[in-house]
Amino acid sequence: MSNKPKNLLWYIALGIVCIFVLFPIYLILIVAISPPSDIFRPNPALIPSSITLSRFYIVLYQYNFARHLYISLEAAFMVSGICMGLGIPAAYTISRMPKKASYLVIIFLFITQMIPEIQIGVPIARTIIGLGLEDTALGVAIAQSSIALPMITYILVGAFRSVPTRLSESARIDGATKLEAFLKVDLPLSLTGIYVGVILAWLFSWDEFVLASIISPLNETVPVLIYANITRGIGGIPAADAFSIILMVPVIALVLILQKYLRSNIMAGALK
Amino acid sequence: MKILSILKNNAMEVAFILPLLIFIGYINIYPIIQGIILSFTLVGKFSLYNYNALQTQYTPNLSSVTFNTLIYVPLALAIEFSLALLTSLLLNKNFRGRSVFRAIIILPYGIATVVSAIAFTFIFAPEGWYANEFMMKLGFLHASINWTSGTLGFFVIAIADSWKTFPLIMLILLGGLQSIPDSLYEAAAIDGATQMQQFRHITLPHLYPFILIALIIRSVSEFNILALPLILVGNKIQFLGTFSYNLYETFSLGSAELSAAAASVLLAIIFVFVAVYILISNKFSGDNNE
Repeated sequence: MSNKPKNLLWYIALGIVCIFVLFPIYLILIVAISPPSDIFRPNPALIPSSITLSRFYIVLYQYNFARHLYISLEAAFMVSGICMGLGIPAAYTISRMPKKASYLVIIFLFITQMIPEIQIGVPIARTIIGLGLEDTALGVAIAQSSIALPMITYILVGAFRSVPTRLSESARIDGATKLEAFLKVDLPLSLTGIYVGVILAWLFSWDEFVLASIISPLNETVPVLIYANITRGIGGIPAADAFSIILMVPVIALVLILQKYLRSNIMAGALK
Repeated sequence: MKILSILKNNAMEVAFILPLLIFIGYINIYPIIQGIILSFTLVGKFSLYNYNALQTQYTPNLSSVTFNTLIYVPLALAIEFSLALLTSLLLNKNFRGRSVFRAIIILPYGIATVVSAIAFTFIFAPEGWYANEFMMKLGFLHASINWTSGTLGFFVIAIADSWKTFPLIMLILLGGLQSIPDSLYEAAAIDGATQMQQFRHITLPHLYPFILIALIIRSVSEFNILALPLILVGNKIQFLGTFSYNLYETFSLGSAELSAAAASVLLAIIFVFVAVYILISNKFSGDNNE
């Protein structure tokens, strides 16, 4: 199927998909910087007639944006850390299990991922208050990790499966312990998949709304702040938009990095 | 004794996998059980009051938000899977700039749900704004319509949702497409199979396992949909997730119990779905093992 595209229809279809993908992003950009007369009217402008940065001032000065950004960043990096710390060793073990057993463990992990965030949100909030972690980034990160871990572990299993077992087997014959074989052979060869896992865990936390809003209602993460701002904030939708741009920028950078590593086979690796 | 010796020989494996299981057990399984217990509690005693109250004292009530959820999930899945399949077929060709196009198409996956909800709020705003103006210019509409209520609202949510989620499915399907050996198509072409026949008898069967895994990842998130409809349509169309969230956010006496009851209904639906899924996919992999 890897032949060359033949016809015009193929180019048109790809063009339509790209417009569908890019148009909402473009809208967020222009609404944040357009004067109100451009957008709050019938037949809104597609190209802003002038540029205003007042919404960014609102975001920076009225909302103490830096504090919320810091909490979001803290939580996202912690989620990456927790997911890798628990996920890498577990995924390695699962990837070296017999096929039937590993299938069972993967199914079990996915079942735990099925739980509605809102269902565990309330009891989880109690557990976290019990640990004294309410309104902290760590509390948010622990809750978010429990949801992200199954998916991340699954991706890591795929990454480890793509390393042939005979490499660590021959290391064992040469006298390495199991742990050494893991640390010096399998781990370095799986780094690409691990990068993907780190970034996906980070993205999950950056985006997560329900648990963050229940566990940290006073120290809001940025998505929760955006929601609060639309529903009852100063500056209305355009200000929420300016927030969104600030939320979007690091993500676009990350996705472009991810793109380099995200060969499609990693996503489906654990299936093979 | 046999178990002990297995443990001893696999000490590293056990030490590797145990922390994950303990963490998930404590932060995931334990709260679920607590949540279910909570939903059957009224002032510390077992009671069906919460479920009853949700059905009789609220508008929309429990059965109508359940109905909404069950209608919405297949609709959203159909839209995002068609988009993903189409796009993965488009990208599964050799052409210049392929990686640029792939990067563009992956972008929405990285954009936070609240952000995408805001973008689609502009597009589908009831008065003026883009969707209405566009349709009027093309002559499909004569006056502005309200996109975000009624049946149309379901489609609007599903489209906004698919925008963000189809890139992930596309990546999984593209992985599947690239695992199909070219020789199969060449052989089929020699035997005179048309493009359509090749798609039906080669491409689709090879894609099944990839579609199944993408389906399980996506459908569960669809059942849990929350932030997007909350921002996009407010409370005009409620699903089990938004219903439960709104109940919790009232912070009144007993609201946590009511919220837990709505969430438990959602959990039950998801469990039935997953059970059916496992049965079907087991049967499928059983057939394939011969």
